[in-house]
Amino acid sequence: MNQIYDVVVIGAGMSGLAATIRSLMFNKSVLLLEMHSVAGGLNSYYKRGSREFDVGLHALTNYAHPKNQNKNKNKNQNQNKNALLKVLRQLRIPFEKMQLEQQKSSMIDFHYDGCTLTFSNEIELLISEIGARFPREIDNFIKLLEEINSYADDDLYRPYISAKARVAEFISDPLLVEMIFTPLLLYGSSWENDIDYSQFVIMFRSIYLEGFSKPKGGVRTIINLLLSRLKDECACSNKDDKDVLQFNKRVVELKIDRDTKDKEWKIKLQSGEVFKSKIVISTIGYQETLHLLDNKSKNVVGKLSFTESILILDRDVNYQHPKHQDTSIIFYNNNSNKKFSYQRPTDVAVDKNSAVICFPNNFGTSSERVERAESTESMVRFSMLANYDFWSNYSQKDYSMEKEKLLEETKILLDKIIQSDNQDKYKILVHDIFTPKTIYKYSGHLAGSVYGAEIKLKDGKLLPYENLYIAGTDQGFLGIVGSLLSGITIANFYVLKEQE
Amino acid sequence: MTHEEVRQVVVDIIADIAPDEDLSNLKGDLLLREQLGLDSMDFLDIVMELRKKHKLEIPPEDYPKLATLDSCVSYLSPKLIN
Ligand SMILES: Cc1cc2nc3c(=O)[nH]c(=O)nc-3n(C[C@H](O)[C@H](O)[C@H](O)COP(=O)(O)OP(=O)(O)OC[C@H]3O[C@@H](n4cnc5c(N)ncnc54)[C@H](O)[C@@H]3O)c2cc1C
Repeated sequence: MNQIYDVVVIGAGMSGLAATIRSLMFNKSVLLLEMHSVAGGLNSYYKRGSREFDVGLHALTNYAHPKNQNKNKNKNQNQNKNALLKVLRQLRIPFEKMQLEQQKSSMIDFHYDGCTLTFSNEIELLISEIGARFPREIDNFIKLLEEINSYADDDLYRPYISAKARVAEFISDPLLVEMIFTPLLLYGSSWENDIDYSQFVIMFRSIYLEGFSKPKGGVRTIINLLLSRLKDECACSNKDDKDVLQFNKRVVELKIDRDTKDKEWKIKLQSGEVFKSKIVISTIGYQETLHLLDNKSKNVVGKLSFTESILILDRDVNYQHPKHQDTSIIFYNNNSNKKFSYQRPTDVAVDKNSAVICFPNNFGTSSERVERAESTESMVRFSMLANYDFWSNYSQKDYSMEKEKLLEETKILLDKIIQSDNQDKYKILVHDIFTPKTIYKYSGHLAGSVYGAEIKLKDGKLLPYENLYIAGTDQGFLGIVGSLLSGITIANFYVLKEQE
Repeated sequence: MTHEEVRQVVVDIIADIAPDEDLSNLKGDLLLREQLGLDSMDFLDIVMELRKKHKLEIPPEDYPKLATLDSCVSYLSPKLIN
């Protein structure tokens, strides 16, 4: 075991897989260590009985079609190339292989206020919805759009600016501000109730201007494509992919011997095994990496976590539904005072006043979509803000009971949304619920945090350590597309460039 | 290599990197960045492929010499001897 790797990557989630593929493409010697027996991390997949579930995937953000890039270029001079296409290009994954189906439309539903806004992958729909519901704000919204289009997001070192304060300079109706922010916070803020303005712009573009899509085969499609690219790259350099990506290897310690001249990292596993490398890329999180270094100088555990409830129904509840026939995702909020509360709930285990409700079967334009009938089974997923401490402190009995309660709440919410109170209603064939505790257990993210620390290490450096970089959520790009881009960027910067 | 062959080397690499782009009407004197929407990440890949396929090391200060197809040809021709 005397080999010194060029790079050791910790964690085979999206960012770790991407960083490894890129490092292999640079002909570097790479080792990717994953504590579980499957890849994917926060967005992996699992089986219950004979059914396959995705851990997370509701939708990919940043939808774009390669053929339409030129259209976007004209629309907007300043727009950087679309992140999804950039990722696919860098990883040499052909666009068609993703088998993306676009959302039909999504809805921001402020139930208490009786106000909804529908949006799709064409911004024109949102503009007309705002025009209809908030006629006095439409010119302001157009000005905000122009500002967002011309914003250059390439400066990594901008200080934090409150996006809510900045957007309020454009839009005066607080209800509209809250509604616009709801999907953006839920899909990409590690701050409570706000977001950094440059992150806001990135999320705004990726959701409202580019939009949602989903691979036909769910997250498996993405993971399988990544694994097969990893295999191909190994084959190109006569490596065995089983040597490069090693499962069931939990890293417990990172050490650097400051006296040796070559300054290599020692990566110690739970089994006692030790690997050595010149560079370490850690994708397990900021605080989680500090733990490996036995560095207690900071407390940056992320606050935001969720429960996820997945129901499989005996029929397609969207079928010919008067309101939700074309709904892919609902951003539901039932708080009073025209406010959406985006924070870790303090006195309850789950915040039942808001939810992301996703109908994964309701993606794809009619030509892409297989004809569905009312009798087709369908899935509904609910993400709700949750408090890790509650879930982790419950006794085993209470834990199961609370999950049952959550299931009941979920059903009530579903009935409210699809207004099904008649006798002949859907049946739930299977359900599964996971909690912040599950997220911690399976991803290693402290407090089950999904979006990581508030502070992001945008240049990937974890100072004062040298040749140790953070990729993934805590580098600052959130979501699936974001974490893939993060892995690529960190590898490009520090594996290819620095070693030249 | 003839200039035509060097040009082909570059076009082949771009075809690998950007499979969705139409390369049949590339103009030699216009910026690749603007014709194809290549960004700095893509240029990194051109450098990487030149190294892998043709054992060429391009120092970062020379990256600007890859800006157009013509400039690629004049910069790379003396280096791609066989
Ligand atoms: C319920 C849910 C729904 C989501 N929905 C969406 C969605 O619809 N769209 C979207 O874009 N994003 C969604 N996300 C977010 C998305 O999944 C994440 O942003 C992304 O997967 C993060 O990837 P990552 O590589 O940064 O980190 P991770 O996926 O966390 O990867 C880290 C990896 O490191 C491994 N690891 C941890 N500790 C160690 C150790 N000590 N040694 C070895 N290995 C270790 C873990 O097992 C894991 O595989 C969702 C997340 C959740 C939880």
